[in-house]
Amino acid sequence: MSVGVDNHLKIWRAKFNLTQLELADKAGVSRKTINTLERGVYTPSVTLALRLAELFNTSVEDVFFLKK
Amino acid sequence: MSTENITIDVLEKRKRKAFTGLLIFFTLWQIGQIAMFNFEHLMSPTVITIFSFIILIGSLGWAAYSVYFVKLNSLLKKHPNICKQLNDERQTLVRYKAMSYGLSTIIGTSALLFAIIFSLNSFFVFDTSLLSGQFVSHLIMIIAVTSSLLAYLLLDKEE
Repeated sequence: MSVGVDNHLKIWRAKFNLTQLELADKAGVSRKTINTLERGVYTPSVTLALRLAELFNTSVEDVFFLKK
Repeated sequence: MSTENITIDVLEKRKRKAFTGLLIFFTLWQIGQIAMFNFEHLMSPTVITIFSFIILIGSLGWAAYSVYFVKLNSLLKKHPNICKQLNDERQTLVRYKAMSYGLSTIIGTSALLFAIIFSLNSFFVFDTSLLSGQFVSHLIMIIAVTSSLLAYLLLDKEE
């Protein structure tokens, strides 16, 4: 729940045509966690960020970035 | 509790419902208890009846929600994958934060009670039996449980 990191999770999820629940199942977290990530309320651990990037076949920097 | 078509969202809602019920009824039960244990001699028969009713409702509600919570836990054990998802890293963080708020509230309450007792003893002739060890420890226990549960429910709120 720290600040400073934003993400393109919603865009990537739309690209892969996944619902929040489907992405949550694939990532092994709850839908609520995906929802809070997309809204920028929660900042994920390195492990979860890497897992999500891996699911989208991209690098973690393409999904998560520092707020400017 | 039916185990058919169980989803993580359903279990999450049930868990939230269980915690909300436990919080409400535990608070009712314990407020009644603390009032009756410590201030019964100051109450009229009508007030005593009201508090007895509050204790009855609170304890019965708490017992019912405890059974609901145990059933929910056994249901979760049948779905280890969902259970793992429910207890993900965000959930763990929310739990730690709630415990931390609970601890802060206990320290704050203890400090406040200490200040009140110290002030009353310093400036007035104060009957210390009104703030007995039992009352203070009971109050701190109630505040510890309710503040942690309330913080958990607020932090876990989605919107």
